[in-house]
Amino acid sequence: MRNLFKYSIFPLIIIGLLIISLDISRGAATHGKICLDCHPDLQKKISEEKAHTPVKDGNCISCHNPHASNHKGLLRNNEEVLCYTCHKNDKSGGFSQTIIHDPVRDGKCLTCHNPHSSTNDKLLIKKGGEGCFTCHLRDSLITGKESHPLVKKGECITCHAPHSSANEGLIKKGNADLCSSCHKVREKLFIDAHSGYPAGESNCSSCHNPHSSDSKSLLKASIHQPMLKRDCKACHNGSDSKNPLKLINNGANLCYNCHANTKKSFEKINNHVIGNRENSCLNCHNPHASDTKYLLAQREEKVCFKCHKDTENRVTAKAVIFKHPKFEDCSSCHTAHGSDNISFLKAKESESCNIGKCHEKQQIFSHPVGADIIDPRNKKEMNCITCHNPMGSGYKYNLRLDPDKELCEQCHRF
Amino acid sequence: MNKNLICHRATEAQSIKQVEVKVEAEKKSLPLPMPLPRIFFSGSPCLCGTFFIIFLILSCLAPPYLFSSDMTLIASLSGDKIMGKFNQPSAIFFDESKKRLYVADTGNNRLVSFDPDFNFISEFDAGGELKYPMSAVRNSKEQFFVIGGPEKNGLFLIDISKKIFKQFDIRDAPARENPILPWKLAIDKNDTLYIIDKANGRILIIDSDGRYLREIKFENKFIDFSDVRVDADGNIYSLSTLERKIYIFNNKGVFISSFGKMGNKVNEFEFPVSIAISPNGFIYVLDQHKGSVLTFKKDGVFQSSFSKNKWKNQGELYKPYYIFADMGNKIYIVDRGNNRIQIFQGGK
Repeated sequence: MRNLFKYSIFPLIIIGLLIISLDISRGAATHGKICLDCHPDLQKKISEEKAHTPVKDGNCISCHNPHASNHKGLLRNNEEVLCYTCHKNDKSGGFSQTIIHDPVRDGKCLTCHNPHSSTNDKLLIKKGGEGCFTCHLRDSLITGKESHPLVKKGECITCHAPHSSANEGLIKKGNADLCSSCHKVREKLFIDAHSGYPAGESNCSSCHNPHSSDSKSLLKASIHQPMLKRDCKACHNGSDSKNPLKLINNGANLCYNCHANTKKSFEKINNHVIGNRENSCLNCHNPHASDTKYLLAQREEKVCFKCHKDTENRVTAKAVIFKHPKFEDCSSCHTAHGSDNISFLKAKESESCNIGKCHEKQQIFSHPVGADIIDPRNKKEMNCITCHNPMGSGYKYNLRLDPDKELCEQCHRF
Repeated sequence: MNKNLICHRATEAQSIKQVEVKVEAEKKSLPLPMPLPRIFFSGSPCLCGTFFIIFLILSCLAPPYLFSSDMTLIASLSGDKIMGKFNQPSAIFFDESKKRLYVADTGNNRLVSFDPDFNFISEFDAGGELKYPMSAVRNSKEQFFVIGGPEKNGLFLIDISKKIFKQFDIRDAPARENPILPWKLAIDKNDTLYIIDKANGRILIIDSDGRYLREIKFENKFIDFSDVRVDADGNIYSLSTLERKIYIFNNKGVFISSFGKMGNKVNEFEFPVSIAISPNGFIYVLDQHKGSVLTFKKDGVFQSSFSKNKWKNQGELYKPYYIFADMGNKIYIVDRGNNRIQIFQGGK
């Protein structure tokens, strides 16, 4: 009896479910046909081979609400939610590894993909690297006379993961592993080109710009003097030693061998000596080569925001609509190594806004400031920073409060 | 007409109820609830009662961080004609035995002392030899240990009665990658000194004769210890500004626990710079960019946050730099952006 139940009821249930699902898909397809009555231009897209699966199936209602919606295009949900309801993961490593491509993080899938159909693979709006170059302008990547062949061809995704990656710069593998998948780093020719050092074991982008450079070997623009002279021994053991890449001195002392004067620049009330790694200088600098000033490891603001992430978050918040035009050029107001002024300012707080005569005019007609004008709240002399937040604020002129409401009342009680 | 009248009465009842709730909420220092839905007042009184019961239950279940902390401003020291103004003060130490408050007035190259009522007593600059004092503690022999100059970031011993001002050498400390850079100091009841070595990301522990006892350091891990305190049991508390984390070690220097993360929620850190331990074992963390003091239990459970507009009025903090709590749970804060010391009475 039990077997009879098993062999008769279960097939019936499965057949029933199949009928229901067929009916649903037929219903969806029917919906699609109705949609095409008014949207005939979509007919061509539906018939394209590389159309989005719901489009092929005429299942418009999987993304659109046919009647009303709070979202543009009568979408069923926000773009940043809707796509992820089906596309929970991708084959290239997912959407949520440590480093996430900005449009992915913001759920702006349509920046790169067409939701209906495309002549390109993966519903990309543009073919291959052309899509990447929409935001990452070709001219900003190919800055020199020479460029990497893959960059020339626009084959960005050979090296980069388009959605997310565990590696900086969204590269698919660790730096040395990535490059050595094409470049034969163990061959004599390669080792000889690196003065006999096993450079293939280290970080290639420490010296090379992977995209473009004026140099044939894609070396970065600024090269550390000893490296330029091929005097690797200034910092490393000899190439014929057992451990050729080992450094000849410990920590920052290695750098102070030549940069003795720099040590003084750290002896300030506020300083950026932060240890617990081999060499605290390497927190900010690249010892071999760089495309930025002072051999910085990255662009200046990236170096600073690496530690001051909260400052970046605060200043780039939506509410902060007025930002200092140089807020990403940190060293225009702050010193990097150390300062006897508050907040690592280059000059005293009262003189800081006139460095480089940026705000010369305001020195003439502004609210009285200076040693004789005392803020009644904290008994400090008034200066620009009393009323302005130099980094940025939600009020015009970077004011700290609404000038039409509570700002003046802070001191002038009516 | 009738309908309008009913609606009007309902609205009136709602507004009366809201006033009552507001008064009640103010008494309890609770956040005000949203205006109550009209249905509860225009219809059944039973539903209204139900709502209040639900509201009370929710209030009881609400996480502790909805409640404001108990900190009252009791003094604000910004200098006067006699002592002059502070210039980038960096640290505070309250000597429990002599009931004296000492301020490292870094930019003015001096230590300044105050009585328990926060009246200025005197200043000390070792005859002009003391430069840029960054941190100061006093031991049971009434000797000061100061991080400062003649050259910055040296460790100095000051014995005023014996007129001694000399460099204090740390003996036998293991050499690390970078030269030692003393940054902050703490002292325990046995006069053991705890020194943040900023250049090597470690806490050096030495006795009052300068002999190295041990160090706290995580190998192969980037931790920027930026402040240190010791409680009555010898447990060591430190802070990593860049990791936005608190570290706790036992009196042998063995790691016990850590907690904290970056974020802008009330219990998260933006840029924590200093740490203090209350006499009843709570951990105060001073967040410079939030302009607030966050209070945690030892197990990392968030208790409360004291924060205001982070600007210039009395009781507000602007770029605060250092926090210290005495045995009476007075909380001393170096309010550096305002060049003043603000003193709060914490809850007892």
